Amino acid sequence: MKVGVLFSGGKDSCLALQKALGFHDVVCLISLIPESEESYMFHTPNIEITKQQAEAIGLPSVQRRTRGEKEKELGDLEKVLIRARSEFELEGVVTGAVRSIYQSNRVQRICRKLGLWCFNPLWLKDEIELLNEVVKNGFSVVITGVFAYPMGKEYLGRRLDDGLIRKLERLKEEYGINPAGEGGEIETTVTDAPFFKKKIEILSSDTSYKDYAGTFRIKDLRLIEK
Amino acid sequence: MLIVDVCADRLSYFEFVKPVEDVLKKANTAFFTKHYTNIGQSDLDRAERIVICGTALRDFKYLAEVDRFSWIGESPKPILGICAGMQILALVLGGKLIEKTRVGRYGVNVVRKNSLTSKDRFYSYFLNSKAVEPDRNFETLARSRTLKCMIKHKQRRFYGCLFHPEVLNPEIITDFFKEAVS
Repeated sequence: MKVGVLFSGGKDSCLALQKALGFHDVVCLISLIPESEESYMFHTPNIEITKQQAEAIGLPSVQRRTRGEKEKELGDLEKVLIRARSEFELEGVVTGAVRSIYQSNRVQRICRKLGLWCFNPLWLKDEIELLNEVVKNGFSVVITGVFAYPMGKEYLGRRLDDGLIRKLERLKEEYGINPAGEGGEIETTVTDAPFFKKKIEILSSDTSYKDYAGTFRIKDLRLIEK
Repeated sequence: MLIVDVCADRLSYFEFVKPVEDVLKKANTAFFTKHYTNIGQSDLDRAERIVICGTALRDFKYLAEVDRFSWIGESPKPILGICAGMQILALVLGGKLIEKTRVGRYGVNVVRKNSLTSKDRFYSYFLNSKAVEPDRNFETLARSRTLKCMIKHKQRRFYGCLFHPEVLNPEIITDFFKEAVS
């Protein structure tokens, strides 16, 4: 089946992509680029580099800008899926949804309307199991956003590894923070994975942080041979 | 516990079967999983109870192969059918399907006390394009608006949930396990 993956460039959409590659013909990566940071569905720090990530992976990227207003962005999602269906004869859509009923049922409804299969291969996956799988599978994951007490600036730009997973596990126990960032506590950007044909090297970045909320924005990067 | 996978597409396993397996793992319940095309008599003999899982909205292959579930008619084991599993249970035992799409979180009202939930009402996650009009040997345990969304066979320990309990009501699956061993 020809499928497209809804792609934010973070660990979840990359893991969903890896699973989809094992069963289907992934023909494109689909990204909505919200103009508003308050987007309910699609905002992540560094969403702008999804085009370069797609190039690094070696898949075509289908993108559309959206104003990121609640519900209106669903119309934009429908339009970008219609375009992907037309350009790539898409039969199905894969998402990295884990627990958000808000996101998953909206994508399900749009897919149903457009006659597309909808796959959520990470659905209800245990957060620690998800993080361990990402590290075990050799993904290079950078923490690019923190939005919860007591997460400090030191997390920004840090690579996900076993030590960080243990630390996130402790934050879950002590403060109820979802270690996989399902409540929006953490955002990530993937710079390499086994299915990347080239890897991303971050050349420059800037960090902003205040009151337990911060982002690590990639300003410049290059793709390098593996 | 035998978990029956009805997904025609292998990628759907992660969405509709693995979450049910995870509920049972958390409850320290032993289980084994088989695809419906691959179930033999030895599997049915080995299982003390059976859960038939759901599948993707566009997957209807199981409906074209409902004969493969004829073992339900003779089964002495307790069965819980989830979404597509409830449809299969109803069809094999003389019921019919109706076209009804429901996607998302909806309220459920319990109309008959039962072993799978002690609550009077709760929210659950629905993902179905067909609903069930069961044979008169089934009784309705719960409704969501007018939809029959939990049913039980009057004589046998066969239960159906149109919604996906693994999403918001995992205790229904573990209570089925407890009910089945009681």
